[in-house]
Amino acid sequence: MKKNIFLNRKWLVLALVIPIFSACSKDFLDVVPIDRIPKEQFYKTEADLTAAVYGIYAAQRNTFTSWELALYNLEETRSDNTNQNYGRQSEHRAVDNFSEEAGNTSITGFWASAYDCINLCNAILDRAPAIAMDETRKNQMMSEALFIRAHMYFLLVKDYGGIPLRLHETGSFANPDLARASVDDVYKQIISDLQTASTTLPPSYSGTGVGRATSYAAYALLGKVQLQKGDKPAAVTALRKVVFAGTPYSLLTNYADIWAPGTKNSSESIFELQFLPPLNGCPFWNFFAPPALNVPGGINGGTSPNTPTLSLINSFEAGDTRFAASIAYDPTGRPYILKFKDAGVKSGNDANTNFPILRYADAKLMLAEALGESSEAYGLINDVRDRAHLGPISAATPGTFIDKLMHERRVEFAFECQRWHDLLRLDQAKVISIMNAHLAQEFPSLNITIDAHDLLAPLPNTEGQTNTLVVQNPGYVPF
Amino acid sequence: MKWLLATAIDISFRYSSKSIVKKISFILLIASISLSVSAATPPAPDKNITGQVKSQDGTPLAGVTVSLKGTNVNTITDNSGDFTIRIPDNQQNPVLTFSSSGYLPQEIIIGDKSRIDVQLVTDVRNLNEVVVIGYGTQKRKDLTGSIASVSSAQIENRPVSSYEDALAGIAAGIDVAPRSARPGNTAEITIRGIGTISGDRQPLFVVDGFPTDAVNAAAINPSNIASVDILKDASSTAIYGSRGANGVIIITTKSGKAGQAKVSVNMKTGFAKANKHDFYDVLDGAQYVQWYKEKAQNNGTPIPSWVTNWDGTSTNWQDVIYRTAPFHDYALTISGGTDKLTYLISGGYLKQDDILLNAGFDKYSATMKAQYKASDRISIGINLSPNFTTQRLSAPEDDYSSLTGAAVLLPPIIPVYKQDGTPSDVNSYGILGYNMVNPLTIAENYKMTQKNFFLLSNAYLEVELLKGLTARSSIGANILDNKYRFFQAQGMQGQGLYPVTALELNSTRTINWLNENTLTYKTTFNRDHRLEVLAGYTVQKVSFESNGANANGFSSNLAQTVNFGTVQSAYSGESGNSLISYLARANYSYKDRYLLTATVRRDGSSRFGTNNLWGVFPSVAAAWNVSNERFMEDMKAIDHLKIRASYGVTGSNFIGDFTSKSSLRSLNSSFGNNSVVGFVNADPGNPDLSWEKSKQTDIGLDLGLMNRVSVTLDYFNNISNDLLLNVNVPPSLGYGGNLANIGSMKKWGYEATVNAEIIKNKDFSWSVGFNVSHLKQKVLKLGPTGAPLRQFFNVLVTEIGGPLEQEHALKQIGILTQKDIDNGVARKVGDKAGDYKFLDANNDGFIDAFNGADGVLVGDNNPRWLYGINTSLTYKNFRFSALLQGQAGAKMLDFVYQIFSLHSRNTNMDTYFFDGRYISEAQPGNGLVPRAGYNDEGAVSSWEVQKTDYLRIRNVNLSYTFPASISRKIFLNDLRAYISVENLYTFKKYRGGNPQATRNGFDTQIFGDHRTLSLNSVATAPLPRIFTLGINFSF
Repeated sequence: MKKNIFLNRKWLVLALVIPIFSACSKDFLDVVPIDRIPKEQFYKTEADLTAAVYGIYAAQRNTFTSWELALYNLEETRSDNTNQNYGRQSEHRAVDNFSEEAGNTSITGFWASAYDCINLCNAILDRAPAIAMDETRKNQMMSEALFIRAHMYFLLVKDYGGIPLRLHETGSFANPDLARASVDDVYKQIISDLQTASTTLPPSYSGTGVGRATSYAAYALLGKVQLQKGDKPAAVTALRKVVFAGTPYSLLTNYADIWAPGTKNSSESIFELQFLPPLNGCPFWNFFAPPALNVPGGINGGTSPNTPTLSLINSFEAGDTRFAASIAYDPTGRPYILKFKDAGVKSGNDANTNFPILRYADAKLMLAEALGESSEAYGLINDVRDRAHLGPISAATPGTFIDKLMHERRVEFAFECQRWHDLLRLDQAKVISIMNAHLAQEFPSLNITIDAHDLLAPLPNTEGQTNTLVVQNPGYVPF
Repeated sequence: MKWLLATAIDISFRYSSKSIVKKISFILLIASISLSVSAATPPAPDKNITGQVKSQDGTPLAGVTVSLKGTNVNTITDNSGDFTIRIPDNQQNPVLTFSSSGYLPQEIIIGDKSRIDVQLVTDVRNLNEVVVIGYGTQKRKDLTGSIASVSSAQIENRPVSSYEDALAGIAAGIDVAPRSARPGNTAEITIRGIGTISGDRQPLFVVDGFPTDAVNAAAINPSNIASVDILKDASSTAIYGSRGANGVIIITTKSGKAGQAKVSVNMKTGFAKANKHDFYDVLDGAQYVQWYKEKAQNNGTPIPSWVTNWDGTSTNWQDVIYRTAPFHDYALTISGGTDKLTYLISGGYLKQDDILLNAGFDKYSATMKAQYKASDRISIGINLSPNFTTQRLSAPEDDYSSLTGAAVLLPPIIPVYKQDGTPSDVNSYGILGYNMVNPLTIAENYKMTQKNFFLLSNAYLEVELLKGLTARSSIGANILDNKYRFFQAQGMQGQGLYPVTALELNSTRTINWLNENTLTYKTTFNRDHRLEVLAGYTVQKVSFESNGANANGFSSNLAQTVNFGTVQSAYSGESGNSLISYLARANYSYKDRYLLTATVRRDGSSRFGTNNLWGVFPSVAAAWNVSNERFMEDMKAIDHLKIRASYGVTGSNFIGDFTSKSSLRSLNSSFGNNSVVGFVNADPGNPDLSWEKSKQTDIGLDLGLMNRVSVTLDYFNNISNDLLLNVNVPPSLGYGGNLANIGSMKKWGYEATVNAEIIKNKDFSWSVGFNVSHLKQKVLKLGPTGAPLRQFFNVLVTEIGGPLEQEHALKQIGILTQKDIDNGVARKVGDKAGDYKFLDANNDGFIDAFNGADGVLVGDNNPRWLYGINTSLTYKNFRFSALLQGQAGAKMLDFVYQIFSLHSRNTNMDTYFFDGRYISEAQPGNGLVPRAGYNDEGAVSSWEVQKTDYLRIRNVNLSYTFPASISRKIFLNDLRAYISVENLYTFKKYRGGNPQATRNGFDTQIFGDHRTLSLNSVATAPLPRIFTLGINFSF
């Protein structure tokens, strides 16, 4: 044993040293992530604010594309423009035939994505003032947040009626309850935000900024909001800031170019959702493509769950060039939505097309609507008809002014998430009779009729189950 | 490997054994290794005793410890069971003791004998069996907790690619669920049922002392495993603190034993086949055409031309996708050593092809293990286990595009091949209302591989500081490199269901560092008091990185790197966590009658919120060895009786590394054709996030009777609190929810294990074993409002008072008749006679949508009973054994039935929908199956709920051990040949292939890659039936 004493000591020292090596410092449990941004270290610089602003554009786009086009489902599928075919997408179909419940994924999904975007806008508005940077650029970015927040609240108030009006970033979940603001209060906020934005946003961008919200976009949206709210004089005021001699906007000669991959942010575009494959391609074409076309990456190779109705097809006048740009027939003879086609798609959701939110044709027709029957109004309508290779209309043309205008809007903006709320601007009885006629055609065996309560979607149960202060819309199962 | 050999040579092993080279040349597998081994030569004896130790059936027993009682003189029998021991001449009345794990110890008075031959008797009670517990070992008789042990003998002769497949049915309370049953996929193991609502359900896996995970554990070569110990109660798992709540599985690999070099070879070869009994019973051509003809008639639509023009084609696509797949498993182990140094080197190759076309799994494994006793007080050791696995899949796991999905859904009237012999384009027949692909085309063009390189390395130093006081430090790393590669070749192009050619690459590396330092003190005082105290400090750090890229648009299948396609995206990720722990345990025993164990562990984890970084996990346990009491001495029939009780708190820490921190993630955006990166909210963060905590009680009894029967009974009751759940918040706050410790549930049940040696004669023996566990669970608390958790379109519901994930759907109560219609029975809009009749649960006269007001709870997929039965018969050198295993009480919501019902797609279906269908009022069928083309194909309903009770003949094995007289002639010490069949037959009512399949993570768990518990959607492939011929020998 003696001879081993040195050896023993060596091992002994080693045995003591190893644990000391690993003895912890306080930092050992502080593993700092590098695959995400710790929030407490963010919103400090102009670069941070810029990245946050890019984030709200991405979130805004999400509200249109998430949950298999939940918003499209609420604003177009629900209308008389399209049929939601049987089979898959039974939840989409429920929205189409007004049997949706408060848990429907279109109802819950759109709500959640819109408020996600609003929360991001609020974070910018809350935190930007403390950032030391050029004040003009700061104000511009805050106005972009106001514009996008106003857009989100506008979409929400149209679909759900009064809604919780959240104007500050969610800091904690301690007091989550907030009652629905009245429709008027929501509109007041939207209008005030857009008024601020319209005076601080630049009229245009250059280079890589093209596509961001401009003062014109704020005016055009303000006009749309006023029109929907029913304040036609205010709508005229706002829209005249966009439609005037010397406006930078014009109608594209070729209607189909509006969505063509090569003509993003064209002279007709006032504001559009920006898509860019491969990461952020446009999903609409994949969604609408029929199976017979074997479009790569179509939903199940394209099941074309959503197709144009006969009444829409029939409402195109002979010679209207918009028809061929909007609708086509597959080899089995079934009509499908052609509008957002990109022949270059390779896999799912990678069409290189933007989706219009506000375009000059809309501004013209909105102004016509706000002005009411007048020669100026017919002139505006005829500008749009002329581009579609249709002859002019006038007071002498049969039908009421509103009928003629709505007809024009229907074919001009088919599948652009306009139809349902265009209908809602008509008087209630008329909407209900139009929709009941449509439902009788789409679901002949189901005997579905709607009433006034169906003109608002139910509030999502996800909100109703967690926010004790909200109440359900009339006609739906209360929370 | 070179390093270890060099070390071995450095430590001056002398090349001495004359026959070793000859022996090694026996197998060419190791021809490249020049091996040096030696046997220690015993010093000249004062008196030598020689002899041989055999088992009851006459097999020589190697590794039996032969020691001179009361001294530290001992030796070990060699591979022939022979021993020589030196008896110092100063010994009075010397006695030799013979002991070996699994056998009753024996004492023999030497007297004037110079040769002693001994036959050891199998110890049914296994009291002296060494059980591996956390940070140490204990004899079974000293245990206070509930631990099941599985020995190498129960694993090594099974044709399985991973040990876990051998665990099913072997021990009470263990559920080994092959969710996808693809070779190379790990099964989901749960111990005593599921005790968490959203967290990880799997136990902690510890390999040779290294806490790791299921994937690393499964990588180990099954033939290298010495034992698997399953720690079930808090007394045994609390030493693992924040990771012990789901139980712990400790895998111990084989080590070298002092003695001559021993070369063992374990070879299995065979093939796997699907059992046709497990196929879906789908319609043949005539039935299919008839059904769709009736559908058209019933719905007043034109009869499709493919019905009227049917040419008699009747394909069962399931015959096309399965094949006879080879199975090979070869393992070679060299081990031995001196009393100073022991070593074990092994290598293995395993190949298990899938019964599904073009899929399979390979595993190359190696182990190098050495232990060196530097002095009486100091020992060091090293363990290196590299394993390399490759898994190949030939189809996605998807409803329609999995091979099984395509095979059950494709119309039987479509031929497999075109006239030119190439696979048919199934969409070109104008039948399908949904784009599908010929499964042969899928299998040919879908190439997914997962290559994993695993390295488990660990080195330790152990020093006996004082008598009984041992310090041990270890440092190790567990590395996993994963390479995922997916290529979709051009052959699939234009097949609609799939996009163009595509390549996906992903690499991940996980490095798990560990340093453990323990002090153990063992003492006996006042003769009757034994005390063992353990204290330790450990640190563990895991870092994870991943990167990958996708490309598509390949114009050729020849080049398959991203450079040849158009890059679609590239990404990388990094993550990590760290854990610091202090642990302590005391085991006290008084007269071997009263046993006490107290354990505590304090864990700090980087994963948790700053307000809750540290947690303490204590447990206590006591046991009474009643049979060691004086009053039991007369009760000869009871050779062992112990009563145990334990209580403790353990934890579960399986949450995202950074979930507790408020953060932002990136979301790409663009303006025009310029891409920009935006930041949006990720986790809201919760500084209070903490462990899930499980309060576990276990009361048990161990009974041994007449050295023939052993019984273990346990009652357990676990209450888990602070379960991590996503607290729903108003979505108007901009978040989907907030993870918080709010849930609570209880699981409880009983376990019984009985083993009996019914007959044990010299030539004939018969033993039977049975284990059963009864599992129950109940959710106690769910968030602030107690609102049920709903998943999968509200179909899966977890609510207070019920078990996990109950299925909520319409309840079918029959088939509508014309009379029902006339009487205005509640039904869906448009339903007519022959359609489903559902329960109008809310009595409003209408049947609502499947996830609406008429939904009722129709079952859940938590097994209530798990059981295993094993038996073995030995006649002379023949041995037959069988293992049966099963479950009962679970009901799966089999979404495959939903898909069978989407008949607007004109897909095929199970004969369930044909036999007994409603045809007319005169032919109403069996009252369960609706008319052809029934209304409402999309409703989730009780008729999709399938009982998953099954009893599987998991393994049968017939072996023959060659008598020593024969094997020695060919220089072998033991030689055994066997036939083993895995998954021979499954008795079940479930109509699919695998009753334990569930759908892959979808719309369900908050984190991890969990499968929905109650839902299966993909037509499942059966477990392969594997026939193998095996040979074991050593020399």
